[in-house]
Amino acid sequence: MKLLNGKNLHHKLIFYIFLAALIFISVVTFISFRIEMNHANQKAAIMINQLIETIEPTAAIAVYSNNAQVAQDVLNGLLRNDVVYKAVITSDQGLSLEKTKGTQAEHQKEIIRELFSPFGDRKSIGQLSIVPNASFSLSEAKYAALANAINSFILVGLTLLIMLVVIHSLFSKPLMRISNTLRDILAGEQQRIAPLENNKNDELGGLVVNINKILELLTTKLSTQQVLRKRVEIAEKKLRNIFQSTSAGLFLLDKEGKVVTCTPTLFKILGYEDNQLIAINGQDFATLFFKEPSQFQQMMQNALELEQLEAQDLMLHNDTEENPLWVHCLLSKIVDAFGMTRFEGVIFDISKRIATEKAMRYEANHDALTGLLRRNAAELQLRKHLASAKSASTIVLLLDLDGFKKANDTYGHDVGDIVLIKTARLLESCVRHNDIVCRLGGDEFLIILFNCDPISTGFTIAEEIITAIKMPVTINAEVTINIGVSIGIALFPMHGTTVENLIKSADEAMYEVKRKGKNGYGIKNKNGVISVNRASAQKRQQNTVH
Amino acid sequence: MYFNTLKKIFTAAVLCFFTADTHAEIVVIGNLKNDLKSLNSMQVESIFMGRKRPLPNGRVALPIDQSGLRPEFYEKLTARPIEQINAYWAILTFTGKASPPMLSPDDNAVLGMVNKHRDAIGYIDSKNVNNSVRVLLRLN
Repeated sequence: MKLLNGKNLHHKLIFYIFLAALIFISVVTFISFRIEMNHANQKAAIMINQLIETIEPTAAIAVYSNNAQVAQDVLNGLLRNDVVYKAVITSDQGLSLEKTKGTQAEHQKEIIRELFSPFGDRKSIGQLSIVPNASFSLSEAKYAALANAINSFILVGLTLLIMLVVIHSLFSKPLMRISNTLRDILAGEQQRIAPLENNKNDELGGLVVNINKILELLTTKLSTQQVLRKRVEIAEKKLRNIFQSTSAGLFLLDKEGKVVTCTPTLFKILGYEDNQLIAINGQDFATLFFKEPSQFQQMMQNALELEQLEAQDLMLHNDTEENPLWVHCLLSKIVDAFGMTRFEGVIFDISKRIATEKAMRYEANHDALTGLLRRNAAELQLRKHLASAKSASTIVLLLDLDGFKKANDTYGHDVGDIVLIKTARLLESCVRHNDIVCRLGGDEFLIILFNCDPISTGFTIAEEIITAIKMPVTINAEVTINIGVSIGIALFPMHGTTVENLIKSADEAMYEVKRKGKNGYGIKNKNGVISVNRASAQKRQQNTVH
Repeated sequence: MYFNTLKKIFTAAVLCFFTADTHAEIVVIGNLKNDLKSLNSMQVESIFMGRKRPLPNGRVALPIDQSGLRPEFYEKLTARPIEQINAYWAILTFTGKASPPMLSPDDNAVLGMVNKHRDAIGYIDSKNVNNSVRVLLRLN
C-alpha cells in the first residue's frame, strides 16, 4: 500500500506488474498442477506396468506352482515401490494373496494383468492386480507444480528487478530531473531545461524541447503582460487619484437607498476623518448622514418617478449653529449592467457658502456695534410670534436712554459707543434667555418678552433694567458716565394686536415717562391714561438725599 | 498378410523336417499296475513342473527326470529352453516348499524306477520302450 501511495512512478508500475504476475502465476500454477496430476497418474500407470513386467515371470511361476511364498515375495517386492498402494495375486487354483501399504482416501483405478503359464499355452492361470498410490501422484504433481511456481517467481522477480532499474534510469530519473528543473525555473532562477544527454532523440528529449518552447512562449507573454500591466497600473493610478482627490463625494446606492460604494472624499465631506473607519456599505445613506433624512428620501422618490436629475442643498446630521454643515446633493437613477436599479449621486461641500450666507444674514439682521437684532429682524420675529398660537402674554418694552446724547457730545462717539455696547450687554443680562433685545437705532432699544405670565414679570424686568442702567459706567480713571432709561410698556393684546400698534403704544408711554421726569416706566391704562412708575428712581433719589 | 502367413507356414514346415530328422521320439511311461491309460501333454507338464501332482485317478504321481533326455523332454513339453526350466526350479526350490522331480541318469534307470514304483512317471527314448511299462504320451 505504501508503494501505491508512494511518489515514485516506477515503484507503482512494478507493483502493478508484480500483482498481475502473481495472478498469472497462480492461474498457471493451478493449471500446471492439474496437468502434472494427470501426468503423474499416467507416469504411475507406466511405472506400475513396468513393475509388472519385471515381476511377471515370478508372479506367473508363483501362480502356476500355487506357491504362496513366492507370491508373498512378489507382493512384498511390489509394495516396496512408492507408486504401489495395494497388490493382489489370485490364481485359478485358489491361491489369493493381498497386501496393502498405509491408507488411501482417494479411490484409484486398479491395474490388472492376466498371468499366464510360464510354459506354453496362453491360458490365463491367475491375475495380478495393483492399485496405484494416490499420494505418490499427488506429491509428484505438487512437487512439479511447486517447482514450476518457484521457477516462475524467480524469473518474474528477476525480470521485475531489471525492469525497476531500467524504468528508474530511463524514465523516472530523467523525469525527476525535468521536474526539478521546472521547479527551479518557477522560482525564477533558471530559464531553460538543459537537454538530456541520453534522451536527445526519444520522447523525453521531445518533452524537454516542447517544455522549453512553452517556457519561451511564457517568457514572451509574461513580458508583454508586464508591459500591459504597467500601463494599466498607471491608468488605474491616475483614475484612483482622480477618484480619491476629487472634491466631489461620489456614491452609489441600491434601490432601497443602502450604500453600495462611495469615494473617500465622501467621508471628509460628511465630517469623518480618513482614519475613522466606519462600515458604511449596506447602511441607509439618508439616515446615516442627513439631519432630515426625509428630504433625501423625497429626492430618491422623485428621481425614481420623474427619472431626472434631482438637486438640493441638504443639512448634515452633525450640523450645528456654530458650525453649519451643508452639502449640495445631485441624485439620479441609473440601471446598472446587471439590470439593477441604482442611485448615483454627487455631494459637494457647501458649508462655507452656507456659512457666508449665514454671516451675511446675521450682519443684515444684527446691529454692527452692539450685536443686537436690528429693527426689521426684531419686528419680523415679533410678527411671526404674534401670528403663532403662543402669542398670549407678550410684552413689548420700548427704551430710550436718558443723558446719553449729553455724554456722547461731551466725551465723543467712542465713549458713546462703549456706553451703548455696555448697555446692550446689561439689557441682555436682565431679560430671560428667550427674550429678544433689539437696537432700534441711536439710543433707542426694543425688548420683546415672550410668555410673560404673570404680567408683573414684565414690570419686574423693567425695574431691574432701570436699576442696572442707572449704575455709573466707568470708561477710565477720569471718566465715569451716568445715564438713565425711560421705558414704555405695551401688552399684547391689550395695547394692540399688531406690531405697529404695540410699538406705538409703548412709544407713547415712553414719552410720558420722559415728560414725567425720566428713569421710570410707563404703561397705558384701560382708560387710555398713561401711568408712570418711577418708584425705583425715587427710591434712589431718596437714598442720595439721605 | 498373405506373405506373413506363408512365411510362418514355411518356417513351421522346415522346423518339423529338422526336428523329425535330428531328435528322437520321447515317450512318457508309467507303471502297468497303475490303471492310468494315457495322459495329455498338459497333465504331464503339470506333474513334472510340480503344479499338480495328483493323477486323474486320485493317486499322487512321482515324476522322474533323467539327465540324458532332460533338455529335449522339457523343450518338447513346454517349448522352453532348459535354462528357463532350471530357473523356475531354482525359484521354487529356494522357498523350500517344492522340489524338482527326482533325477535318474538314463533310460534304463528310468525304466527301473517306473517298474519299481506304481505311481512313478518317467520319460525315455521311444527306441527303448518295452512291455514292462505303459506308454502314456508320445512327444514328437
